[in-house]
Amino acid sequence: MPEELLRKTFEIQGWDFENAGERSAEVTTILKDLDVDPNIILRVGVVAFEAEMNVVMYAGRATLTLVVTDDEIVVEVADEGPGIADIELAMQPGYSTASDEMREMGFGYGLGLPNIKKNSDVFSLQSEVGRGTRLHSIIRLISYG
Amino acid sequence: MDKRTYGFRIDREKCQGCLSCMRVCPTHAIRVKDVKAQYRPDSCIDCGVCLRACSRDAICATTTPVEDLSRFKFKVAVPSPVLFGQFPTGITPAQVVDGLLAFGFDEVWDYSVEINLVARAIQQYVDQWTGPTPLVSITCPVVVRLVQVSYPAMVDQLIPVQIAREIAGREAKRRFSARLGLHEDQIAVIYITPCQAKTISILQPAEGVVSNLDGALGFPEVYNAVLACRRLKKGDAIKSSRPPIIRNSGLLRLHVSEGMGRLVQQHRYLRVTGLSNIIQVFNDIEKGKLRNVGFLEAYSCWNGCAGGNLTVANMYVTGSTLRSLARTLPETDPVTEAEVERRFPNEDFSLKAPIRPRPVRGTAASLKERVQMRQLAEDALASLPGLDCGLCGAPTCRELARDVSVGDASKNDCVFLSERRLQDLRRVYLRSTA
Amino acid sequence: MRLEMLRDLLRCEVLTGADALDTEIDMAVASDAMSVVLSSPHPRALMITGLTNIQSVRTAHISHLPAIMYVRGSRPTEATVKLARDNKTVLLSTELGMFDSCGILYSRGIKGGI
Repeated sequence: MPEELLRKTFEIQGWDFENAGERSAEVTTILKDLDVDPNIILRVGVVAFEAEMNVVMYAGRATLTLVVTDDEIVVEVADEGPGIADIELAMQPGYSTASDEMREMGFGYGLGLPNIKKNSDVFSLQSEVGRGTRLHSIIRLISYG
Repeated sequence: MDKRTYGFRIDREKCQGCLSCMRVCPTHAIRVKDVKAQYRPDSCIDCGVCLRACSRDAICATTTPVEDLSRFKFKVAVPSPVLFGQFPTGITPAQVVDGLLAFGFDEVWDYSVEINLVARAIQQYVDQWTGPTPLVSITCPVVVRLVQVSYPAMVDQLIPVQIAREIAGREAKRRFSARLGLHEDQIAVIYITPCQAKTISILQPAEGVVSNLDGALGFPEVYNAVLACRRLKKGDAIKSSRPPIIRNSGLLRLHVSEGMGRLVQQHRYLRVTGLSNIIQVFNDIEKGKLRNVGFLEAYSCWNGCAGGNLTVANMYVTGSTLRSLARTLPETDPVTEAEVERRFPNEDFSLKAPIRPRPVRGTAASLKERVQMRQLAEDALASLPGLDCGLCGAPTCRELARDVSVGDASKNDCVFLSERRLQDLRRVYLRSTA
Repeated sequence: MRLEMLRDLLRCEVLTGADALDTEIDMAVASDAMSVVLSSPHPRALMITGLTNIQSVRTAHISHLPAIMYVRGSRPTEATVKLARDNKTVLLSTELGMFDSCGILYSRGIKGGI
């Protein structure tokens, strides 16, 4: 079990498009301060940003948790939203249930979850309709032993 | 890693703890503790900005004591080209050479051949380079140290070709030991330097090896000898029948206008002088600008080495003198060219070891320690006023917070947080009126 | 290509970052879908988009893109420009459409991300 070095939880407000993405920017600032490899920061940034946008678009409220351990960075997003009925379908690139309004925000093209998966070394998504969704992404810090 | 044993020193007797040096240090390498300035050697880049800021003359740098040279059997001076531009009009390079001989040197080395050799090696290196640009010259030791300390991601852009003065040192030793039957250790090759940073770089090269040079003397140490020698000789026929030491203008032009850029072709070239300008340019490079520039020469002193802190004459006058001297000489000459052709294929010009980032406190720590330090620094910073008044002995609140995070300082060094600290300062700094 | 050349070529208005127009660009990514930009991050590429809300600037920041060019004369709100200024992201706006903008840049040697 790797030792947990840092854990920070952020609140995300649903439908708050003005501030959407702010948490992810904070996450990348922290990692930059810690002198983490820029490529790792880029990947964590994309994961956090896409996940944050998902919450803002679909769920009322959520927490985004950043965990840094000796050898990996974990991004965990747990929401109290409507849940995803068919996860396999949701993971297909291009599949989306977004409204036109969301597309106008530049999101909702069905690429968010595939993007998160692509940038994660370990990715899992659990959801219960009516209860919420929990996204778990791990990015390994290969260069730090 | 290598321990830094040479560099600037603060005379604790003379230092009055006035904070001037701390405020101007570009790498925040100075703290004032107990009314005395002190260095954090890991962050010091030997730029000498502190030296100029000190009104008490309390800062000095490591130098080579002249007496040290007596242990050598044969002494060779390698003068920086800037030396020839230091003297009043009418004093020729040949007279400067005579002065150095009168000072006690056995030979004076003109390193225009080495400049051409190194330029050629740099040209080859720049031509075959496929990594990020610009590539940066390592001629100015302050620039090298700045990259090591503040721009570690750029160390691979430092050109790993030895400096001309180092190649000159190697060749002078080789040649004179063969000619005189002496061991190389018995021959001293001394650089006549316009700045203290070069002295430090000879005593302690950035790549952690041993320099080919044995030390350096500043211009002030030889200046009077040259002037005195000339006065003695007035009227006398110049007795030295030596061939002209400087055959072409290449050496003299090195530190005016184009520098090495004149010799390295087919690449966009940029010359930047002045530490604050260099920092600006390096920040731009980090952001991905200036990628079209192939070769960059940067000199910490304004106007390049003519503005060094061990020069005697005004830097603009020096430039003008060098230019007019250069005009009397041909661009190049057959002897120099033949030497370059002969030596280039037979010598290795690559740096003996790679230049690596210098571990500054904090960077060498593990991720775990970095997390802890960041937390501590953040907590400390949140309680500080953010005024950067410097009364705590650190140049900014952020620096104090970092000092606290590594255990070098306490939050109570801040006068806003500790009444006692304020009283202490009052007692020390107002002692004359108390 | 330097951003200042791009500005002249596409007759852009500089909304913020006038001091950083010497930035070099040799790649671009064009889309109104931010996930497309995020899915193939090319640090140092130019983002070309018609999407003017604040997420365009956040996307550029997360993806390490130095500049955004808005097409069809669209302009972001003051808050968005301010965030870009804080992030040191250059914002340009051109009257040209997405297709023409891309065509002109492509013909001048700017390459696209995958």
